[in-house]
Amino acid sequence: LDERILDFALSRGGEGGSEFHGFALSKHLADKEGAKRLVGQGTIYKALDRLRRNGLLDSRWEDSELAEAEHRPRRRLYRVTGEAALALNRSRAAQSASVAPRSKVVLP
Amino acid sequence: VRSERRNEIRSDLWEHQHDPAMHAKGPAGAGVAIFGRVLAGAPSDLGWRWQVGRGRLLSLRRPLGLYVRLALLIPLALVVAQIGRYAPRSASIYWVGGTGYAVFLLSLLASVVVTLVMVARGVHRVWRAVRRHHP
Repeated sequence: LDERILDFALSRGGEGGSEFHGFALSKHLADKEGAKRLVGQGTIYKALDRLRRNGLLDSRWEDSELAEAEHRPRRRLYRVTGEAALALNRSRAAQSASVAPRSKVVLP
Repeated sequence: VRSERRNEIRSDLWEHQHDPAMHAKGPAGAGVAIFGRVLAGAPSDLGWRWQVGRGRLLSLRRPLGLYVRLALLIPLALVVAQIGRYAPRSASIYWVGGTGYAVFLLSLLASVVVTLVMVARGVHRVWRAVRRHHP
């Protein structure tokens, strides 16, 4: 899930790119995977909190005036940090390294 | 941290409720989808709350440890007291039983005091939280 979140966040322009909120992320993940149900709130916000604590995401609460004007609660907005792209690349490299020997065994 | 999470979930529920896809499902379908999502994320949320609350539990470790020791002492003292009860009054073991009975009563009293202190601390915390939200 962490990788999928970082993938989505980086697709929005990387560091300095556009911000997103938890529900938009859940919708995107469900749409991309063709899932009928969105990821549970507990799951998504725990993952976002983990990424934020690891310094891969940055967050801020949007201006209350904007939320009040639209008659809705304030959104917490997230944005990737510079570390995120590096962490995602490292994770993918580690995954492909662990998969490679297995494919050698399977192929004749 | 907890209030931030609460506000974030409140905002998420609002977004979900007002999502155009929910209107197509009708009120019952939307209710099931929203409730199902809350339920699906509950284990992760509980795990997160446990991680956050662990710091608070650590501060309770000392009185909890004392409480456990007292709880272990009670049956032990009770067993010793029972030995004294059935021993002949002239035997020295009678005094062991008497001491055991005294220790049993003292440890029971001490655990009641520790329990009351822990309950009072809990009530105080809840009261402080209520005062913070409703000054």
